[in-house]
Amino acid sequence: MAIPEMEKYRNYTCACGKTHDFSGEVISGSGAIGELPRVLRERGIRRPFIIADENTYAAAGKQTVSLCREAGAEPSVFISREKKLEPEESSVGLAMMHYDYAADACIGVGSGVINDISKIVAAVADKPYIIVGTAPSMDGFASATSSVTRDGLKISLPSKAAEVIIGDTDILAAAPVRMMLSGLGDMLAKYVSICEWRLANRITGEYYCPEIAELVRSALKKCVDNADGLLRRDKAAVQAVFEGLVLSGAAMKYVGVSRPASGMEHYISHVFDMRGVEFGTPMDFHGIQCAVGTLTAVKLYERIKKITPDREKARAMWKILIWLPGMSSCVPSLAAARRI
Amino acid sequence: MIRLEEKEHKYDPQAAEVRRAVICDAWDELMAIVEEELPSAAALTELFDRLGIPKSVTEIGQPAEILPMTLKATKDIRDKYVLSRLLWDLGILDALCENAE
Repeated sequence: MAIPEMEKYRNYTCACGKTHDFSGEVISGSGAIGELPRVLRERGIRRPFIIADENTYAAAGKQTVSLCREAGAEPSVFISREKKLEPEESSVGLAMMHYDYAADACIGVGSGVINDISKIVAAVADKPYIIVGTAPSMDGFASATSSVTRDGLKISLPSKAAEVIIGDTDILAAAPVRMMLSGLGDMLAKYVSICEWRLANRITGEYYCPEIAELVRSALKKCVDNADGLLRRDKAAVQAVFEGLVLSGAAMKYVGVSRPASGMEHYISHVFDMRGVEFGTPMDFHGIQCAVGTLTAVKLYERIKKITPDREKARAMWKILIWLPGMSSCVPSLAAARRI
Repeated sequence: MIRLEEKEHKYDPQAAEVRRAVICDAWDELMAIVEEELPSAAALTELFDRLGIPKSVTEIGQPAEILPMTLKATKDIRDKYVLSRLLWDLGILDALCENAE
């Protein structure tokens, strides 16, 4: 039920010079949620604070509560009633205001937004964190950061890595298909992120780990090979995406940077999110936006493959662009994008 | 952005010149990496069509005109050296983003 590819990376000294480690327990597969009572007993958890929304509570929240009770624990539960929950100040604040001060752990029941919020609550409360995934929709299950909008800017806020990640394919396969495709989109993004990691390594000398890059490539290949099964809710396809997403999150932890999992395609998605929070413009699932960003980036890469850079011309053009108002340089382009 | 610049030297003419030298000298090597790592846009499009994944910004409710500035903004949104940073170093970011799709 663990992810075999991750077993090697426990205090693993890599040829890249770093020690790769992920201490969390990953329980994946059919019936995985049934391990929850053991997880709670082993950790002596008696009063977990469960965070869910109405959909995720129906998908796995009720079951989580009864499994907690089976373990002799009495959970307190916060169910967000927000129709469209976003990872920003007010949703985090609301969860914090419902926090049970007697809690000895936090359990997030959900996927992207619930996971991001719950990780912050667990970090602020300084309690162990467990995630019961309800959709294989993004790669934040294993990361120790929350992707949130703060002060109008999309940031990766340091939060709390999960001690235990549960991905029950019986639950995950019942998620909306678009959420599964979002997870696939977040995996497809790895084409660009790994490519850009290598490019940056060559151009700026930035650290790069070939072994972790290969680990992510293999997980991505498994997702693509099984992709058609998502439309049939095939459990092998769902498991490939879930495990790929967990592994991508762990890969960021292994190398201490987000390079294995995010590049320009993620930044495209972040701009849409920032505009959405500030101006109420449409937002789609993170991984769907990343998929669009991936295809856009791949098309741009195809265009640059056809050019031969000229250093003198590039230098001359750069000197002009850096002072031209309205171009990508001296107007902070980010601010400009937010204004459109 | 000022803090980021202290770390990234994106607008520093000397640092940009050093990066440009590497990019131009190692262009074939860089494009070989791109070739190795990325699927073709055609293959990706076929996969997206088969599964019903949106392919364009308009399919996810964004106006088409947002795309050029969105791509330019990716140069400044975080501290990573990504494609938009490479295009910026080559002085072709604006030109390529204007008719991106």
